[in-house]
Amino acid sequence: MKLNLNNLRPDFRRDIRREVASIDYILLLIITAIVCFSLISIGNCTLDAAPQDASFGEKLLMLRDSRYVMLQALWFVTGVIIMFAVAIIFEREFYDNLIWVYYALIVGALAILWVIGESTRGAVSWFTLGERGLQPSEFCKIAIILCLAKLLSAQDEKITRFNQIVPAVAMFAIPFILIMLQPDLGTALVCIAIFVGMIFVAGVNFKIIFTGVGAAAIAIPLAIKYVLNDEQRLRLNGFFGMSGASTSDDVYQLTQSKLAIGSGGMRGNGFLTAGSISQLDYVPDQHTDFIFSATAEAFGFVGASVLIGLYLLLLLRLLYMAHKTPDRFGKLVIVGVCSMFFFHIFENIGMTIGIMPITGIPLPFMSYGGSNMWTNMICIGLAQNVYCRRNRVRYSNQNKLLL
Amino acid sequence: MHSNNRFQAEDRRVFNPVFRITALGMAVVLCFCLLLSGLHRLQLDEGETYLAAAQETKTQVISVEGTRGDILDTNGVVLATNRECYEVTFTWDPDKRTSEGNANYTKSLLLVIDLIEEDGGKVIDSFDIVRGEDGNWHFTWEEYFDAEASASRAETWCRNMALDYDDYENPGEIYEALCQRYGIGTDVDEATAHKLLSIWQQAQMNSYSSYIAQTICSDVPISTVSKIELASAQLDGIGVQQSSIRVYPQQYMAAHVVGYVGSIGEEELDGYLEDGYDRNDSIGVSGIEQSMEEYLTGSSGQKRGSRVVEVNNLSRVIRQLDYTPPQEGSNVVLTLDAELQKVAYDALGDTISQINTIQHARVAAYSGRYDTLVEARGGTPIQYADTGAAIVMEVDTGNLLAVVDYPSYDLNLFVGGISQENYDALIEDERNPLFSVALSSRATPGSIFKPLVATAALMEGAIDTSTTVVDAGSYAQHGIPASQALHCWNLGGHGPQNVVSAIQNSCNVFFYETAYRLGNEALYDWAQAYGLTSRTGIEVSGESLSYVASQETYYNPEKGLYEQATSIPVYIASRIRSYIREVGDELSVTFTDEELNAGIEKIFAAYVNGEDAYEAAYDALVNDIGIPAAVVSNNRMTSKIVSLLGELKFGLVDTMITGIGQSVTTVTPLAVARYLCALVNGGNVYEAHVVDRVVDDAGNILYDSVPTLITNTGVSPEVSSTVMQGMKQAIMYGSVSGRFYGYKYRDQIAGKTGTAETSDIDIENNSWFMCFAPYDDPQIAVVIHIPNGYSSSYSVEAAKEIVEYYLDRQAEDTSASIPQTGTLVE
Repeated sequence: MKLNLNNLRPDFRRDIRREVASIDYILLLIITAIVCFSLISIGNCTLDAAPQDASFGEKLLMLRDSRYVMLQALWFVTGVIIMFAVAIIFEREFYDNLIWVYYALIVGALAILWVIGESTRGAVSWFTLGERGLQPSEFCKIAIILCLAKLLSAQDEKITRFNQIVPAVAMFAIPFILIMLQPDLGTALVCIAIFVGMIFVAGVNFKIIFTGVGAAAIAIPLAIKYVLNDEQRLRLNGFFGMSGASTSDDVYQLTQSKLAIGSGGMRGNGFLTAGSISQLDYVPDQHTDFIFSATAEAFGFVGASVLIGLYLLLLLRLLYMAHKTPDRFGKLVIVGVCSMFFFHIFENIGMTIGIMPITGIPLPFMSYGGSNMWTNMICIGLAQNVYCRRNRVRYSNQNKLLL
Repeated sequence: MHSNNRFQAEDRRVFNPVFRITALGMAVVLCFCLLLSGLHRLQLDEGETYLAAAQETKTQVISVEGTRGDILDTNGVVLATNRECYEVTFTWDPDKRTSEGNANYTKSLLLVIDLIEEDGGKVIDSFDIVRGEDGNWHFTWEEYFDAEASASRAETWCRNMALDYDDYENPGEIYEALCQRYGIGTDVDEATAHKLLSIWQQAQMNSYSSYIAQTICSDVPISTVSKIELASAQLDGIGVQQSSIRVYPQQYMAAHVVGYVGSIGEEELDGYLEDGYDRNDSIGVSGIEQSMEEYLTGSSGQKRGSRVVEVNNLSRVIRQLDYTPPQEGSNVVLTLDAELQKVAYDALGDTISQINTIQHARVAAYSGRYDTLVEARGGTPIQYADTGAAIVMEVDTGNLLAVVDYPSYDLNLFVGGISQENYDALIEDERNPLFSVALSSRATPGSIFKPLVATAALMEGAIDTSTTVVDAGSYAQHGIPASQALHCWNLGGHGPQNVVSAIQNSCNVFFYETAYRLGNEALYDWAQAYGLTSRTGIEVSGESLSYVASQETYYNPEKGLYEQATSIPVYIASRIRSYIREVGDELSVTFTDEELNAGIEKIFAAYVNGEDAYEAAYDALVNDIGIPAAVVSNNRMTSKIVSLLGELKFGLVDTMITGIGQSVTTVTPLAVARYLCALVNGGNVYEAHVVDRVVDDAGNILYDSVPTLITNTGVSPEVSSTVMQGMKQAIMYGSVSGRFYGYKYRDQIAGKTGTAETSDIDIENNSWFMCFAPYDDPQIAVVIHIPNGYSSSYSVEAAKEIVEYYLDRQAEDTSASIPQTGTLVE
């Protein structure tokens, strides 16, 4: 299929080859490395143990037998295509106003979920589409990044007055509260991380930041008391009690997770090793939320450090791209994406080793799951998109360079 | 970038976030350092701990039992062994612990119970809540414990069953709740529901080790196995596995010696658990199975092997890491000879039924006389011969070649727990098949005691071989008035008797006189030397202690009232107590048994020690019991009490009748066998042995029994041969000599009969016969005892068959070349 992008804006043409070449392949390389880790880890969690004398290569070949590994690979490949599509097709000038339509759709969906949840008196965060669920809060993160970037780039000075960020706060508050009401604590915390990161980089002065922190210090206890439900409150209490887990399921999950990670030691037990804790399925959700446990057990401190190092490279690369992106909107989008990834990574790894509460948010590019992979790739695509923008040279119909 | 531009930028207040992005980057690095330090702590600092904990979490040790050892007779005939069998198991998949899962399992359990019961199998039925006689549900332990202990037990039980004890009012509600939990519908009848709950209880109690399949029915026939295989698609969780079960191929043969296995009783459980047994293990509960448990078992901690396995989070076994094979139980080889045992059992059984027939015929013929006698004793029906014992002992070792109890029972009835029906049948059988006559019944010996009296008197010089006593039928000497004269069984009298002819004729008068001259104390010492007052030490529990009459046996002041050899002192004491209480009632004073017994013991002691019993009684009544002196004298209490004491004192007549084996002397057939051996082997008293050796499965001998000489009585060869000669002549010319006319081994057998009176009815007499063979070189001693066997002459028949079989085989063995080991097994 060949998409003729030139038809989209008849008034000028684009040099697609040059745009594709200007995409940040280092970032893609880092992500590919993480996904390789992911495929091995998912295989480790879902396949039976390899024979004792199997070589590393043979074990790698065995990965093909796991449906989960193959699907994850498929999600990744399609994710890369999505990334390219987003990076190339999305043109702010053209879609600028659609951001608000997107925002309205997401908020509407969240509101409907809330109504359904209220009437059935149960937590609902999914729309069921066939057999698979569609989770609006996943897409809400993108909406929040885009809308915040748009609102905060309205001026390019340092923000010193409250009224300059009121629209941003208001825009953020509506979906945030709906997510809290679902209640989906993990995503809500991700949203806060995005918000804080973007506000910080947008140049809100410290007076407002400190006021905001003060306001939060008052609002959070109230929110804990009136907004959170019992189970979430328990989890938070558990966290502040530094146990990291409070319900018996969580305690079990955390204990097994620490057992797996701890028994990995320096060099790890190797993957597909008979008798490893991940082989014996002691850690619940080990191929999704708790994939880090299995990874750290299989590859030890060395392997886990390499993975954490890759994530650090990913985040620093994103920050570098933000720095290199000349326009304010672009910078903020990348910072938003970076903040989101950061919180996902820190919270997920933190919970598996017991320094963060168990919230059930996946580890980007590692955890098995299609929709999460796609959301992440859309975000990377957005970052690439705004990063490439500086190289997006346009020619008029007369082949004249437009500036 | 020019410095000018920067100022311009600030002037225009364009915000360049490079600083903030850098700060953000540093925050990210910082947070990741936190993650790394956390990871470092888990994997490197505490890695070893977690590794050990992981090891412990994922490995489980399943213990493996060894096979129980066999019990063999001396020739290798198997008396107890194990048979391969199939058992039906239930495995509760932890994945399916939902209400639908449970209901589904219940469905397959219902089906399998049907299949098992179709073929006559029995599913476990051990649910701890049962319907009581009042129709309500009760915990099984409620009747054994007080309310508090029972409640605490129930609470633990509920916790193990994942129930909250406080949620339920009574066991009935718990029953309902469990029925609901396991999906047992109301359409299931109660008996079946109870079985289902038994299975579920077992599964629930063992849910922490669901990798072990739970046995729900042991020993199913192959037909059931194939039915289960056929229906396997509908039998989720049901499996069949191989196991082994105890069998007794010789069934009733030597049942009391071999014994049987059973489950561990609640009260011994802790001890066995300490020894490494599992609560479901079988242990020997009687006979050799019990006494040789430590050798036979394959289940003790010492013998158990183990499988170390890796289990996953659902407790499913993933692989085996290590296997230590169990040590098999060792084989116990007995001294018993199964062939001889069988011959003896059949001979004894035939003899007993013959006697029984004769007794009935006699009662029919003289019904008037017996009716009068029965009426005279208050209607207690006549006891006929229907039980008996036969013992064959090796003269020079004390090894038992046959220990026969009649009737016996099939040991296989007890395998896997005896059914109520069979148990009731055994218990309600008046012949009491579970009781061992040979080891546990004590009976008055009668004339078989006489060779001992002769031996003692000859050794002590009270008589010599030329001593002659004239038996005129009755005996009234040494101050016994003619009105109370003692009699010989032959009322016409035997005329002049020496010791040999007295043994030959079993002449009572000769032995009255001999016992008188010998004195009871010397006789008692000799009886003690011949082992008639001690246990024989057979390796089977339940042996009774024999007693020989003496003052100590009548009443021993050094022992408490309730520790005496006979129940006579207790009976006399009760009569005295009720008399004192009568007096006490008039005074409105009540006494406890303890108060009175203390005084009574003093009176008894004074009386048997020959002190002034009247004075002792007065002292006890006034000072110990506290009855006013005036009341004691007015009521003439002392004389009344002393008049009751007569039976405590071992008097002259007692000495004399002890000499013919009467009085309170009671002995077990086993003790008699040992005594007979000592009579004919030169006075060697051995421990009785029934275990020959213990051999482990590698053929090493772990225990080898050697003849254990307890004592030599010091009898001289001349005395021995004199007594043996008397026993020889008893066969040749004595009262039973007629039964030996034409007997193949008449020349080689010598023995002594005994007929002991037990009541006024002659046919209730105990029948004894003891003999040895061959006469010149005694090898075996045979003792036959038939309670209520009418007359000793009948017991002779059983002994004749046993001796004939034994000597026949001896002849075969010596005529054939020396047999190879094992050829006898055929």
